[in-house]
Amino acid sequence: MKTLLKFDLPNLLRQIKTEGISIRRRFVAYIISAIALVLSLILLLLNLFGIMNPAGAQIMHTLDTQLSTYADSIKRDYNKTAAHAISFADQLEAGLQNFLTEQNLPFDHLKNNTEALSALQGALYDTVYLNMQLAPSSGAFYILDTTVNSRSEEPLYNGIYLKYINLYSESTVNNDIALYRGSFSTAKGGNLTFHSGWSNEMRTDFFDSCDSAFDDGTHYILSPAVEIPDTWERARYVYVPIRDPKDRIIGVCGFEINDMYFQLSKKIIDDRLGALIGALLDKEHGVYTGQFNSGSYNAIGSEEVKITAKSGIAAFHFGTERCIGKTKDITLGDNTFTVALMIPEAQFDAIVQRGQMKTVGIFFAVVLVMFAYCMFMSKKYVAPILRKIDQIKYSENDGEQLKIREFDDLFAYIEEKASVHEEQLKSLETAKIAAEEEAARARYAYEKALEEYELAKSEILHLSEESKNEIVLEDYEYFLCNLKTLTPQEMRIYELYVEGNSTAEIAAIIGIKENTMKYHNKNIYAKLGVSSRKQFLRFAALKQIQDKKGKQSE
Amino acid sequence: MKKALAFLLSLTFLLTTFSGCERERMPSPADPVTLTMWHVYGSQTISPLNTVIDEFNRSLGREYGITINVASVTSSSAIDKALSASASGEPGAEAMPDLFTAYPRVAEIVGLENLLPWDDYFTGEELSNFHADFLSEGYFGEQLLMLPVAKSTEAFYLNKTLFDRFSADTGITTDELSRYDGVFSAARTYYDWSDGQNFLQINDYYHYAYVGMKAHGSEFIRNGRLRLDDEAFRAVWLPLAKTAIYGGICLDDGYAAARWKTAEIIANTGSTADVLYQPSEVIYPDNSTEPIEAIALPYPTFAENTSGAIYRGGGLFAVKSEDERKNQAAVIFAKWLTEKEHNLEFVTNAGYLPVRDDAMDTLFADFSLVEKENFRSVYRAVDTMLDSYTLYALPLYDGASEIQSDFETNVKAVLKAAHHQYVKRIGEGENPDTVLNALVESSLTELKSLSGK
Repeated sequence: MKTLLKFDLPNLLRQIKTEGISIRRRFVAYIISAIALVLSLILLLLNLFGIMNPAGAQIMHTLDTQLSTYADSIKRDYNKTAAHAISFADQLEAGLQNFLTEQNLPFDHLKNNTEALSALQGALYDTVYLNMQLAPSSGAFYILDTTVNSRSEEPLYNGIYLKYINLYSESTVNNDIALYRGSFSTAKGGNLTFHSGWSNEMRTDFFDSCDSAFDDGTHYILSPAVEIPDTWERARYVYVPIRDPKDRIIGVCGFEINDMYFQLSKKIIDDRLGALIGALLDKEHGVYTGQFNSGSYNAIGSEEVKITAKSGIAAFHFGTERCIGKTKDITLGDNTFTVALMIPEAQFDAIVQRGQMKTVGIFFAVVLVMFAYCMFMSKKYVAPILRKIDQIKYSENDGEQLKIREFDDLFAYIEEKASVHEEQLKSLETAKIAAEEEAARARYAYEKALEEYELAKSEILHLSEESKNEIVLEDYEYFLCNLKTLTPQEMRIYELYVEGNSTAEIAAIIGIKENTMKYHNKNIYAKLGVSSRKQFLRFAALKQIQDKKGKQSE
Repeated sequence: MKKALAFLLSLTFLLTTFSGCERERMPSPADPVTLTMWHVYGSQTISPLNTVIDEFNRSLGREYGITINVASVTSSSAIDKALSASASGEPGAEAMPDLFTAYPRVAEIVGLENLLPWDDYFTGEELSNFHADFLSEGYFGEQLLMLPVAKSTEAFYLNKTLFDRFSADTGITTDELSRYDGVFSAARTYYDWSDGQNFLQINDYYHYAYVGMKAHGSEFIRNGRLRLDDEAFRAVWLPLAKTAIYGGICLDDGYAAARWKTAEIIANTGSTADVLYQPSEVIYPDNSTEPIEAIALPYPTFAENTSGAIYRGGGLFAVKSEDERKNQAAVIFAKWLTEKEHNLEFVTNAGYLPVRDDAMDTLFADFSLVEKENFRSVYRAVDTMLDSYTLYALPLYDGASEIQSDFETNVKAVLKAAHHQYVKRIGEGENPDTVLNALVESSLTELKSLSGK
């Protein structure tokens, strides 16, 4: 953390600019960049092809797909039931006409005729029973605009209404049938048990506006989900008109789809989301009621459900409970219904949260793997190179190869060059040592000569002081005048003598033989008019003193 | 090495953190559990258990993300059939529900190994709250597979409105209905008085025989066989047969409550839970209706000082799931349902007895917590019975369900055929008493013959 706090990006950038960046850092940066790039591309492609979506979007996509299938299935099933209802009506119309013809009764004379109505039910019972067996439904009925007692306080219609009891499966093959509405004799004749909510006839207001509902050519009506009187059940009804030969509507017939049957026949399970809550809803005054494929929601759904939609996502409000899902409007019969698929909000939120956690987890895992990979690559690839460089730098090469051809060639080349340079360095070192030795020797000789010179100088000074008066002036002038007659070689020898060298030393310095030296000495003496070495050195010392004095006076 | 280890640990942490959530053992709203349930507690008119289940779904169920989805409210025989179909994988059969209520006999059908042992999830203290006899019925070997949620006994129901008319004409009072001989006598008189109407329906002849033979100091069932040759059986059969053949007893299949509605009968013996099905009015063929008062009386006795009745009622079974959350959800629901408050709410609206001793004490100390008068009448009758009756649990043995069902069918078939014979022969001018006695005797022979097949 402290390191992070001390992290100084501008400084680092400046450092990188001026000092460059280490191979290790550069390598890690490139690897991370490469992985990040690939990762971004993969994410982009997955996103483009819709493979990777946020969890919420995935749920919505799943619900969309399932909803489409679900709505189609509902539409198909209700249309199938409606087709059965139309066929059922045809059979009832034929059966009714046969009965009336046989009994020689007009339809209107059935009213208050208990015996005839019971007989009619007996005649039509098999039709009801068989159609109920054929149609996907939980019950079948017909009602006619007639009654056994028109004086009854409650207006009633006569007919048969059969219901399956003990429903536990969409398949009703083995279910018992109870008489929910119908005469006592119908129950006896059909060996039926009475439904515990049984009555003889049905209230006239059971099906709203059935007289006028079919005026505009509507083939069938799918009713809203309503409570079945005297039971704890609710149901929708698919019903069609029963007409007399004059095309007058004299009743309706159809099938019951109760909540339990809807629940059993409309189960929908998604691999990922589990059991989905499906519903077929009716909208009235902005609120919905309807049937659900879940018993618990059927209980709730008998109350009002509010739906709010935002960005194509619907929120279903069941009192304090909320679900999230999708809706789709479909037309059944002549009415519009809303098909809905949903999951509880808590489940939705949890899936979204899990998705987010997974994304974060995957991100961290990828980052972790990325860093681990960088570390691994750095250790396996960069570290040996750096070690090799260090070895070469400190001439500690162990001869081990990196097994990277280009680097091995490079390091071999560098090593070869280094050995050549080393040889050169060695010879230079030797030369340097020799030169230094020579220089030491020369310095020594110089110091010694200087010492001798100083000695000679003092001697000369002493001599000059002693014999100043003894020197013949003419000889000394002759000496001075003829100095310029000396050849360069002779002048050099003269100077070497002035510097204090011996004859042998001068011969060695100039590189001439002793005889040649003698020859030069003889010429020099002759030219300068001196007869001895002693006179020569005295005149030379005098001249030197004069030259020094002259310079000082200048 | 350390880095590699740290890396592996981090990776393991991430994987377990982000993918391990689904292995939670308890249900939660974030990961909800839906349990399908088949039960028998309800008529086509009302289902008190559904009401209680709705309450659970909206309260504790919501807290835990548990939804009990009732996929069938049916009869016990229908559940037996459906479970059998599911267990054997019959074509068209539904998948086994997660929870179901049934009689103990169904455990063998489903397979003991497939059922959740409740005692693995209930503490000893929790189980000690249950009525010991009710709990013991649920044990299969060492395992508690059937959890009692409601029990019933049998009572005698009477349409007092119509009976009062009969009583006014004949002088027969409800006092005479406390014993079977009085009931049978009244039934024969009613047949004559009503011009051929049945007085009574006996919902369970198997129970009648079992309690009757107990009253005579014998056993109806021994070693998994019905003892129809026993003298005690003859003693309980003859008065029954005499009344049924005479016409006083309805011998058709179906629920007594439906026949109350059309006034086909005015009395029946049956489970206390039958009160749920009792109509409040009679409907006549011309659509006119008449409100009725229904009362319950203690189950008729066979002899002085030997009062007895069957107590019955299945229990709650859970199908063992590999998903432990489902097992936990079932247990949470079962515990909630058998809590005193919820259990009382459920049973008092269904005509059952609660399964906890403290709930039983509360109920019989104060009937005012029972809302409806006809239900209170039932609990008053049961209160009397609890004081002086011996309550018997039916024995469980191999094939019990089938033997019981066959016995019911055979009794009705034999007596119905005999009644038709009786009507026919006296119509042909034969002496009614002679014919009746002969048919009563032959009916026993016929029954033994049918039961022996």
